[in-house]
Amino acid sequence: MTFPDVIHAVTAVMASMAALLAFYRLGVGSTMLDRVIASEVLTSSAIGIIAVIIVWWKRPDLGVVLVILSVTAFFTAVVVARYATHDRGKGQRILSPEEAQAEKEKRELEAFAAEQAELEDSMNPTAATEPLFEEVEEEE
Amino acid sequence: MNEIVGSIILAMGVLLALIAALGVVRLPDSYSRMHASSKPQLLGLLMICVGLSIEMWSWTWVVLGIVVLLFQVLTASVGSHMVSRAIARTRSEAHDSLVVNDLAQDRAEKIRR
Repeated sequence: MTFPDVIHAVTAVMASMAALLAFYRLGVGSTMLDRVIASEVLTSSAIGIIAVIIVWWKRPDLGVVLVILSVTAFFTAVVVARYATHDRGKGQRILSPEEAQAEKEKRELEAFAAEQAELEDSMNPTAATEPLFEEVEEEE
Repeated sequence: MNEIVGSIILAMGVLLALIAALGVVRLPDSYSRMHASSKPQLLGLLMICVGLSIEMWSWTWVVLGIVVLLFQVLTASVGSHMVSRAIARTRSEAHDSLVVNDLAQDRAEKIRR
């Protein structure tokens, strides 16, 4: 094992450790954008690992992968950042079955009430002077 | 000789990725994590490309490294701009640690008018 081989091995270990640490933040990350930042670090360490493979195992054909990674690495960031702008954070989660059932019954009741009101309006059209839709103040 | 020099420069470039990963794990909020993660995106990639060119010792790799760096300069700035704008707009906990938040002032003035 010559001196450059030792350096290559150290480099590969460093890149793998960077990838592992990025995976930790990818799992823990408190917000969606923290996870995007962690995936950017993951891409950087992937580029490092590929560079080591190119020089250590004499694989010059993998140079194309470096170009592809540098071109497509920002897709994740752009896509997630476009959709994260309306993220309310803590308020949104998946409902439990009981809560989902309660929500469904509430919606059915509301639909029934709206139908009844519409029926009554069509019965006496003179009473329909009030606007049907009040302006709802938009929640920030 | 050029193998030794190239491998050392390559190792320095990957060390930046390791430092960035440490920073992303250790730093407290999204803005400082972005600051840490942007170092290997350009400087680390520059050192990796220089190390590759020196170690392979041919013009092909110089050209390929320049192409990689060019694309990275074009795309990484777009990505980090979008991410930081999204952080600023989602009112995350990152804003609590800011000393001055000019965007918040702008927004408050806009609402007052």
